[in-house]
Amino acid sequence: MSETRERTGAIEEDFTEDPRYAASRREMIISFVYFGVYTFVLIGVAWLIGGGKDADEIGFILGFPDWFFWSAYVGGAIFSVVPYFLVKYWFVDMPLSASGEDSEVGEYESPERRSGEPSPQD
Amino acid sequence: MRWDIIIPLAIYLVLLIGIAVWAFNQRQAVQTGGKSAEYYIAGRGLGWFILIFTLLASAASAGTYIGGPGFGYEWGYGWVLAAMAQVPATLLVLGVLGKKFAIVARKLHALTVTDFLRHRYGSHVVVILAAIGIVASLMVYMSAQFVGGARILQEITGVPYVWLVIIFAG
Repeated sequence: MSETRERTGAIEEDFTEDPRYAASRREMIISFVYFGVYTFVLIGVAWLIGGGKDADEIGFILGFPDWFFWSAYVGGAIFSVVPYFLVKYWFVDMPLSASGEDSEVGEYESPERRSGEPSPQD
Repeated sequence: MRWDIIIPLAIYLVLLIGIAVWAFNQRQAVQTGGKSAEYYIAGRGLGWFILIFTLLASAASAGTYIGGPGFGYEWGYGWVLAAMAQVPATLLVLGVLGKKFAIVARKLHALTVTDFLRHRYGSHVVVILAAIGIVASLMVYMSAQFVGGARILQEITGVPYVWLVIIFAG
């Protein structure tokens, strides 16, 4: 009995989840929220401005219907700038390689790395 | 047959083939163990700038050239607004799948989604079903691309439609 308990305990302790996964999960949630807010704003603004109007009542801005201009163009422009700030303040910059270290030193030994280290002949 | 349009297109195709031959020769220099990564994903060294063009190329298809304008003409700006929903989809794909996939793929040395499935489930049936599904859906998608591209080029250059479909498929 205690043997199996020790074994399952050892199995649980051996596995430590990569800490980068938690940050990845948070970024996933942020992306979903961004998508939801964008779609909601796009449809909401278009409906609020142009919903249920006859064709004669719709105003035109730069040749486009006003509901299209405000929702797609202005909303799209604002939401195209938002990801820059999202990434700058909310996303975590992390190395992507398997071991979690700097990704320059990877599978392919690049010549740049060799020149920095003392060669075995020295 | 408008030769003033066909000739630049042919020169562009020859240039593309030349780049492919050059890349093939470059590939001989990659060390063993890295050749698949070099072929499928350019050795993981392309960076963010090429990623932008990859996404744009994914968006530019026969649907964008023929289907989209056709729908827009018939249904008006309402359809264009609905198509705007694919704008945040780019960030959604990169944000949801990007980091986790990148980290896990480097650990597993996985290059495609099928590799992921093989590592996760360890079953031949899953991998074969996934491959069949991918091939079948790509067949459907590519046939639409052939038809769309051949129609456009037929209107522009005057080359008969059948020839263009054969050239595209080849």
